[in-house]
Amino acid sequence: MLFHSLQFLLFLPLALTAWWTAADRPTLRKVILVVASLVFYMAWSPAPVVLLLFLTFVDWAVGRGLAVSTSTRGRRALLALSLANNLVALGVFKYADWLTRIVVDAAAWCGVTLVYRPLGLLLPVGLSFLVFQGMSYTIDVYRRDLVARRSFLDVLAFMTFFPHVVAGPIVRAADFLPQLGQRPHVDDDTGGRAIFRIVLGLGKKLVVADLLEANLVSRVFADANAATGLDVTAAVVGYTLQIYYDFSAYSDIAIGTAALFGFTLKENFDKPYLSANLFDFWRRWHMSLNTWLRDYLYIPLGGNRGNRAHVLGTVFVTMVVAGVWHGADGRFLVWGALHGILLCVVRLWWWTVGRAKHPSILRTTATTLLTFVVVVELRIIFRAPDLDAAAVVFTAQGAHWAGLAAPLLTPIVVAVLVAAVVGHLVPHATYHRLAGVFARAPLPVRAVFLLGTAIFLQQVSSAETTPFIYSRF
Amino acid sequence: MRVEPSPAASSTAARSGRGTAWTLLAFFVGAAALSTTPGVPAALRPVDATTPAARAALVEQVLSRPRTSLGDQERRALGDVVVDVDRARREQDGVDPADDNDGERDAPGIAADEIPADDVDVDVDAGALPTRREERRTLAQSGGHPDRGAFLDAFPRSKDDVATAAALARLAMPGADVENPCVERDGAGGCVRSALDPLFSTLDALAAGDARARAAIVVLGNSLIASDHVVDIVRRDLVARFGDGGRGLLLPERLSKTAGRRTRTGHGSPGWSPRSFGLDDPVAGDVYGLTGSVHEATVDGETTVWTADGATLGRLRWIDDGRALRVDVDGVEALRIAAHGTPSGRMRSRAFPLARGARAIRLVAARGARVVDVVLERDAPGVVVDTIGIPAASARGFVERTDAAAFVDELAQRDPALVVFMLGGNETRSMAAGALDDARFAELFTRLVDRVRAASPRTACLIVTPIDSTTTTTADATLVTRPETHRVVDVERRVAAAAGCAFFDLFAAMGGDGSLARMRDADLVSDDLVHPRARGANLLGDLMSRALLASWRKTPPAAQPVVARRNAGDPGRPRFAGLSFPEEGRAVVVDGGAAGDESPTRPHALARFFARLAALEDGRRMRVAVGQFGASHTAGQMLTDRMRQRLGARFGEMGRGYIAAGTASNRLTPSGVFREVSGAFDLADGREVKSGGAVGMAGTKLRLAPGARFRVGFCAGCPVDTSHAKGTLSLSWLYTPDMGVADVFVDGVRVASLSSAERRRDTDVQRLVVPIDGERTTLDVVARDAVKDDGGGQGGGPIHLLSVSEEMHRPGIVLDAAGLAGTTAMTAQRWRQDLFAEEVRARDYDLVVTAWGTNEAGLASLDEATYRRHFAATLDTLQAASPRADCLVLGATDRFDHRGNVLVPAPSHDVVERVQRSLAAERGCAFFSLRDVMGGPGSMRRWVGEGLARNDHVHFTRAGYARLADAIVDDLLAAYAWSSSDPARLVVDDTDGFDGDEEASGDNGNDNHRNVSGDGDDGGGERATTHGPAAPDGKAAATTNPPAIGAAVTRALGRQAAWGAP
Repeated sequence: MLFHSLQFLLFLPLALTAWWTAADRPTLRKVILVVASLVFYMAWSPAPVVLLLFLTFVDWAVGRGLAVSTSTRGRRALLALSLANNLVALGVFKYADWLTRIVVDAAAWCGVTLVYRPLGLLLPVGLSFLVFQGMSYTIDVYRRDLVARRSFLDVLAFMTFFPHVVAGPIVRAADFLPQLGQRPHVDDDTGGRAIFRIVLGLGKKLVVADLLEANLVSRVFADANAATGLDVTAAVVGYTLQIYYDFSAYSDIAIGTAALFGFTLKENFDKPYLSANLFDFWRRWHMSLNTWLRDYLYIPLGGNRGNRAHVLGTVFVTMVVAGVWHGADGRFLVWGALHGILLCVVRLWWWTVGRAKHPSILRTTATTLLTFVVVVELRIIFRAPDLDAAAVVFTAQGAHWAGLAAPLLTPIVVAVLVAAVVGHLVPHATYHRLAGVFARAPLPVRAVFLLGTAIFLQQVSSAETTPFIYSRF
Repeated sequence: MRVEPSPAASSTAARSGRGTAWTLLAFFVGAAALSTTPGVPAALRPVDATTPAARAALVEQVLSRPRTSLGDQERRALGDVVVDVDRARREQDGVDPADDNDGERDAPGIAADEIPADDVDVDVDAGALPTRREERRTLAQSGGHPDRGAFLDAFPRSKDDVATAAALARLAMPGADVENPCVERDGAGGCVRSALDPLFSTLDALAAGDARARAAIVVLGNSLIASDHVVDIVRRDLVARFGDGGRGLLLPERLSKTAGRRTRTGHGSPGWSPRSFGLDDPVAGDVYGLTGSVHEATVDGETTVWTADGATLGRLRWIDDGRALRVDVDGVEALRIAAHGTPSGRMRSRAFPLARGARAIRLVAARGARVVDVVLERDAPGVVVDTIGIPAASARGFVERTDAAAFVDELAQRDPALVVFMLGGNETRSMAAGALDDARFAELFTRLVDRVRAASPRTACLIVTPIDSTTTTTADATLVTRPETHRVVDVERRVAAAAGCAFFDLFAAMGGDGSLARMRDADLVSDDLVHPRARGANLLGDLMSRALLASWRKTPPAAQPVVARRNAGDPGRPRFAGLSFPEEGRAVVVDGGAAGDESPTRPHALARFFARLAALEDGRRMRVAVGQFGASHTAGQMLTDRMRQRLGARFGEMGRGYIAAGTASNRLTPSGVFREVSGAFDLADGREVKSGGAVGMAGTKLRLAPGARFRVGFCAGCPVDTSHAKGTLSLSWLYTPDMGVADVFVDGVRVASLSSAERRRDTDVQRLVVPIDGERTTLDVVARDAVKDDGGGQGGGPIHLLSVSEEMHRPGIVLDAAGLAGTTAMTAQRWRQDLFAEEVRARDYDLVVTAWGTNEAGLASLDEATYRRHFAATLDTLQAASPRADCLVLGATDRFDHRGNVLVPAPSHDVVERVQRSLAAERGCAFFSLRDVMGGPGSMRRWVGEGLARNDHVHFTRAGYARLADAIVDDLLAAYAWSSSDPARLVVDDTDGFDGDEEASGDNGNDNHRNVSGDGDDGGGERATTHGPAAPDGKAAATTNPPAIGAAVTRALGRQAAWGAP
């Protein structure tokens, strides 16, 4: 179910009540957590839960095998089994038709006509996240960084934990499982901050992201030629803000919800659009994915070791994988590859020109703006329905600037854009203080604040709420 | 945004966390109170739960599934067919914000029509009007004339109608009448025919329920309608009232690559290069016909997908330049145009088959192939509206830049009842620029009308004026109507009057001068100040639609109406209610240079069967056997009884035929059969066996314990037959090693015994053939008591009986019903196939009919591939066992299932029908859609309501079965008559024994027993080779199976006995 739905509003208190009622009974509370998670997941469609259970079972079984196996060959085989199982699932449900079509198109280009019958499988919600989590579990066990769990229930709870099951953050077993075994504890400060964070996430999603989508972004990307250059530029920037507010909203709600259950999930964003360079950006954007790729792909491929060509190649491959992870589409591949190329360019620049240890404010501002522009422009590829349409948007940015007409930049859209930018510039400490104020406020104040926020969101949010962008991936 | 835990704050916060719980509790209680308490302002409610309806809506919201988060990339990943069908359907419905822009964006000099995303689907809402045929009123007659007013008034005004009327009033759009002049008068000056009569008479026929009527409307226009705006409303309103004749003429892709709706195009791959006479310079070899455009594939494998939307007729039009093209229907090749080296450069077309229920038509083109259009129509009464909107089009463009022959050919093929001209907008600007004068415009327009008239002399024509046009294209300036608009309107009015066309002044209807400015003020015009936005176009379409229907209402019906009717590919082909033939579903392969436009006459799937019927009618003494296999519809006997009765009345009846061994059944009584079992017995049920079940072809087997008796009587209600007509009873039984001994009695006389000693070597299915005198007869099988066993090495076990068949020695039809309630084609695969095949083989059918499907349709999770495999295997068994038989697949009947108190449609009907149609085509079987003759999906409700079906919404009453049987037989007889009219359609098998000598002997030694021997003086048992004990009184003798004689000889002997060879 969606976080910003009435269903979730009813589901959450029921799940919390059940969880805290069983707080002193470890097995029961795990069962409750798993059941709640499955209910949450199956609200979309019951069928994919079979795949979810299967993947989890195999990963658990492989973990058990790794725990008892002492043979290096056997352990490798078990790890390969887990990786293959996860990747095959991902490949079949997410990439099979895309890859097949590439082959068919390539064959057609060579004059060979192949009959293509798409599998037509629907991508289970959150599969990409689940597969990465599952692989991290078995890899960590294989590396002996983690003790394999005897209890299937533990692994199932880890895999299905509903706050992050759909769109992350990608949680590491080493972070989650120890918390699962402890009696949950939430004090009023933590609880109050968690509620504040959930409310904040809902606001970011419903007020900023959805309003930008409905009133600016979708209209321009539907037909960029019909929009003025200023509108197109605003929409491109708007989408960049929208995707951050959308995805970080999900993370906020997920982290806040998990906190209400007594779990601490790692942060997923760190004001990415204030990054001074692309490497910095990738350290601050979707941090759980990027640390995953760093730990399980970049470093195993060699990381910063080896000669410069190898390092550049590793960066490029990692970014291509990061791009394709987002979806079975050439756009994502191109998007990832371009990021990879630009990261290589940055790296080469540092190698050849050097990197300022203490850059001036002016230089930092310039590089931050340049990084932002690069990120914004590459987002066009990410958002457009296809590469041709992306080309149209790129072109349209430079056209129709006469009179600076921007019919789509209505006062409300401008207000939301400004609020989004300001919201991004506000330091973490401010949010932290606001959360603390809420947590310490008297009960009636807190309740009235929540009620007022609910009414406010109901009134100002876009009538057409959209699913979280990253729940597609 | 990061919110780090604060140690300082934590240290001062309460440790219990209860505050958090109380906060949430207070919030939820407060929210609930605000949401439910009456009197709270709506703005202060988190949700509205004050009324039962609001609460119900909330519950529904909670119980509903979240919106899918499927991304575009996943949609594409699903592939062309799956995704494009859904996408194309949405686009067709006008719901594709991402693509919903008008087609003129790229047109030089023509600005785009910016359609906001929320401005697309308000127009296409036919849901407010009844669209299903059974829900529509039929045209009442008043004073001998159709009462058109009453027909129209029967359709309630929808909310949209009210809203539209309000919008028209707000914008001061007064509307206008269609000027429909009289074009033919009688001697007294009375009007015999008005200009629109060809359309109006056809609408009369449609309204009256004429099943073959088809009102095709072709609209020629410019950018105003290029995205189907305006016309879509006319189509919506006509289709809602008169039925949907199909999507009509569709282009492969939009004429502009980046803009425009796809409502009248397919969903093509990116490499199509569209060219039209309005904007593009033609490439050498381009031929512009009626559509004024071609689409060239720029890469190999270019594709486009159209949704079928119920289409049953398809036609592809292309330019013959030797390039290969292929059309797949739901992934199965339906048409292949082979590459060839002798291109004619001409425009050509070819029909291709479309099975009912087809979803997607996919065109694959080789590089360089040029495609013109595809036409999709339904073999059903209704209205088809073709929109041909060419950006920047003018009358001159249609006249001078299209190929006259190609234009006329295609228009003639479209056979429209009405051609609408919606031109003049571009001429207005040309006049303003001084590039066109009135006389030249009138000449060009007249030439265009004349060309249309030449193509389709009986077609009505309607000229619609352009909309208001302003002198500025700057949005901020005051808008002034171009004076040339009035000149264009005047010219068009004169042309209409001179050509005998109807005329609709859309300019006046929308309010004349200044009307575009008012629309602009209401945000109904795009920024180019030329093209209306979607909502504006909807209002214009509404003006036009209302005027057309009002004109139909008030125009007196023609004295001599001429109704346009659908012309099938084969003009002589009868219109079948449910029957279709595999050749109509088989891919058409065109070897380039040999392609013509008409399909060749082919022998069809029932040719052999019909040939035997023809021989019967010619007086030959033929046996024509039909075997129907299925579930309860067959087991219930009512369907087959009626079919037997109908066919027997026409061709003669040989007797009751096959009766499965079993217990007493009232179902058999109407056909004069009684059946009973006494003593210890059991009935093996084919539904319960897991695999390899030894049952007969009806799925049952009767096991008689020692001392038990099975009796079956034929012609129970018949008067005592004193004619001593000769005939045969054939008892089918099963050899088992432990079987005991049973005695067989005919009319009380023991004629044979059954025991393991009588077993033939090649099969476990044994047959005993007994000659009879008189149709009214009784057969008894009595298992001997163990104590009475005469030894002989018998095991003393049960006797396994499969069936008894009765046939008389007279020419005619015998129709067997072998059905078991609750079974599926998959069930039959669990039975021993050798026994099943042997029993079928013994019946030697000329036509095998399968009637499974209804139970399969009710399976919630029917896997298509699995079902296909099982049904194919069952069909293979039947066909292999009846090598000379034709076959007919009866589709599933419509059904509903009970879910609690709710009736839900059978979930897998489409799968079943798709598989059955596909396999019928592959195996060369005819297909009969029982659901179609019932009235289509959902028709079961009506049948129940009319007392034709039972309340279980699965089975039928006797009257219902009779109606279904009549529909089947009517179609068979119509097809038979059609086949008989052309010997080329009949296939006479040389081995079928039409030879007179064989007819005389009946013993040709090749298993051919198909000719009834002469006069019935067959000598019966006296001359038959007898392997069973003779009857004590010599009245009857029986033939049973000699263990030492081979199968072929055995069958010949058996039949020799049966047919009484001399």
